[in-house]
Amino acid sequence: MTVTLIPKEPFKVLIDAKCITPDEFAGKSLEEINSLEVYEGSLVRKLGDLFVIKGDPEDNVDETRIVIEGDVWKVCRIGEKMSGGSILIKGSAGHYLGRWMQGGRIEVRGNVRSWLGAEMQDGTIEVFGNAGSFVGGRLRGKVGKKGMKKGYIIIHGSAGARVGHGMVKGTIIIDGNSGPFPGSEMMGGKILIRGDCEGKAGANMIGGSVIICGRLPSVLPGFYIDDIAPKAKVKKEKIEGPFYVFVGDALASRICGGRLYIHKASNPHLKVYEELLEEV
Amino acid sequence: MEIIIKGGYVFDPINGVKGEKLDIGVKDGKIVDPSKLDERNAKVIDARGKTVMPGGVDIHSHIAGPKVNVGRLLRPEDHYISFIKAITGVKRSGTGKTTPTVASIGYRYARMGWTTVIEPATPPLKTRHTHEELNDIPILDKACFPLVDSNWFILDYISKGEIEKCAAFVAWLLDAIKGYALKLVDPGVAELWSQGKGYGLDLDDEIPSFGITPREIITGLCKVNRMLKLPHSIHVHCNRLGIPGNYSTTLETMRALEGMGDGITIHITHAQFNSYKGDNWPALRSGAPEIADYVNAHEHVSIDMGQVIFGGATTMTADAPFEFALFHMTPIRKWAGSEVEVESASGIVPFKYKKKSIVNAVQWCIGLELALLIKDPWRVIPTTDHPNGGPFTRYPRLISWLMSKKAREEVLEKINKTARRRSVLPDIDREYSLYEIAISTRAAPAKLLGLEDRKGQLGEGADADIAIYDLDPTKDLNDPDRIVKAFKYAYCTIKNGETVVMNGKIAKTSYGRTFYVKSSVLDEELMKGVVSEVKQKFKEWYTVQFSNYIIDESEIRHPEPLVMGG
Repeated sequence: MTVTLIPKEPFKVLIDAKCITPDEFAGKSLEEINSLEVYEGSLVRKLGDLFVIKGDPEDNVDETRIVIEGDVWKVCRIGEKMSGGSILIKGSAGHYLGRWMQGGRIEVRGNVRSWLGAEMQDGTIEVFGNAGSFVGGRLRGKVGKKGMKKGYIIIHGSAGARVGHGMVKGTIIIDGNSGPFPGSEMMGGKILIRGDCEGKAGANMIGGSVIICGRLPSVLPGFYIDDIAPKAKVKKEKIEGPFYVFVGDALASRICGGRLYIHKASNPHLKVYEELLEEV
Repeated sequence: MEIIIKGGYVFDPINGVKGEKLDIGVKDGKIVDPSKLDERNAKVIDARGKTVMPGGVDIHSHIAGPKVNVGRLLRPEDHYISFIKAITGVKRSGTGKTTPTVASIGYRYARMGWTTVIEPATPPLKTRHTHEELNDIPILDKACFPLVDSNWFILDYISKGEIEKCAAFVAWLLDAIKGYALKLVDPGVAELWSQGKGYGLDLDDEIPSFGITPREIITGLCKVNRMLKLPHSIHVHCNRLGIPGNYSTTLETMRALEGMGDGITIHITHAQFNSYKGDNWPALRSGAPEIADYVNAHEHVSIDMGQVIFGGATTMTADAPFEFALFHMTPIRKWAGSEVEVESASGIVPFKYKKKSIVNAVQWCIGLELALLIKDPWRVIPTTDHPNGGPFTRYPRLISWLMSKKAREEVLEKINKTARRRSVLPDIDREYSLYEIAISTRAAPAKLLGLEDRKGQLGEGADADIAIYDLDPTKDLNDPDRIVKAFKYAYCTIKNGETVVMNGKIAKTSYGRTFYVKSSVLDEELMKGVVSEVKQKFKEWYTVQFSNYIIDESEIRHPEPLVMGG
């Protein structure tokens, strides 16, 4: 059922460990798991060289459960392309956690670095600490509908810049604050930020909605005020408002399919927009 | 190191060998008579049931230079998935599909059995960068063609009618920047692009700043080329590339150079992009039959295909206005463009060729029609204009389309139906033989480049660049997939007498030569006069110093000058 990985010693360089997924572990014996290839810097090592591996692996992907006891702050690409099962990390995790993930569940008790759930297709990621930049983001250089397709990311701490960059569908919830550019180049889906945002929300967005309950320093000039909504809804949860609703980004598309919900009570400096609303 | 290749079916068109079973001997990087070698000292490669050919020669492939590098920067998404692992002491690592990193270019060409590759467009001012990259490409022999069509010095001399001085300047330029032949990209258009104009410049439109037409530039530079006795003819990317109805411009360009002398006077590069009929994109039809008829009837033209391969590509050319127009046509919303002072311009747009797109499907048909309708394989070279039509790694697939009607029909069934109806490709029964493939990918490009005495052949005294494919010409040729597999991973590639690929895997990293031309045809008085003129104008026109412009031989890893005349 459960496979437990315990780091043998603190990592010195970044580790490329895309093999730590339920899909790779399922149907393999402990010895086979021990001999999976990982990169430590530029050196090829075996997974067993870096971790003590215990437990009894399962044939079925969905019932495979991986528990990492300890800090894997420098281990990247855990859970890449996983299609089922679950991963529990009882510490912090590295870059590209759950990239291209297709299903299953990842839980992190500590913090994670950048590109959490990048371009994920489906599944659930829960982080109890903070996250780096590009949560659920589309990789550099890609254009069009290549971002997060579906799934659910919840971060109980704060997140860095460009949350949900280029996302197509799905939900990202951040209980803390967010860095600049949440929802940049977004095409659909929902981002909820319960804390403050550093600014420039929804830059170049053409669809989807970003809900900010805390303070936003200013709204980008590509957005028009549309309405004042009493409530916003994310995943059946109703969030009490009222919210200023902005549409945009006019710079990215004339249709202005994107929505920004900015909490009215936390943003008294945006009151000037109300005058524009009355004129209409 | 001595090597004997035993019992393979040898295809060596320059020496007229058509698949006979022969032994080939290699000693000190040259091909020698195998009977003179001692089998006990030599490494014997058993090539029974295999095809032996000279190393491949690619006449047109954008492998190095500033625009290739900008292409890499513009397309990080091209580098995520493909990955070559480094093996210490054997090979270096690399990434990238349509814009591969420097080292992986060499490895991938060698793996297919290609050993000589030409970078066909480098702005003279930035050629130092090109040579730096060429130096770092492993295994291959290479050369670069400087862009000369919009160079102010040349336009100035041509507008004044001073062809001799122009020739002296070109001779100086080729020596100064270590170039090999003259490349003309949409002649005159880069000069207009520096003023924000230039899209669709036709052969007889005037370039206002110099008062000349592209026709005069082409004929002028052709005369210069003949005068300097350069090994390769002028390498022309015709005007109005990528605009429907441009086949007439291509025909006019070829007609303009009739009667300029013996042999090949013009090489039309990536002719597919220049063979479009119809008034607009939806009405696009193939102009390949007309181009092919002309080429069949005239001896002075050679072409390369510029075949489109379905899938990803990165278009990069010095024809900047076209790239800007293409950017507005593509759904992928990014591009890069630049202008090089006094000399040139360039643009880059990522692109994806789709089977169901009528335009792309017609493009695919045009390239193959050209190759199959032109009867003389010595004058039509299969290329993809890497990375414009597709990456060079797709050459095996291209070869299978040329060699097998069945392979073409498989693709024809999947492409856009209207495009298929408009094409004459389904009616063409011709299939290239393996001998013709050996001509068009080896002997012919080597001959066009003027390197036939050392490249593209297996005669005694030639460079020992040999490719051995696991392909039995007596039984394997009916299966297109077998052809693809054989050409994709050469059984063995020998470069300069060293085994660099064995069983489809890189066995050794060596570094090849860089060819360039030193022309000493003109008298020294004239040269001195022109160089002092250039020095004066340099201060006015350039932001760099004259002395910094010149590339020293010591900056090239293995320089190999070809001295012309005198």
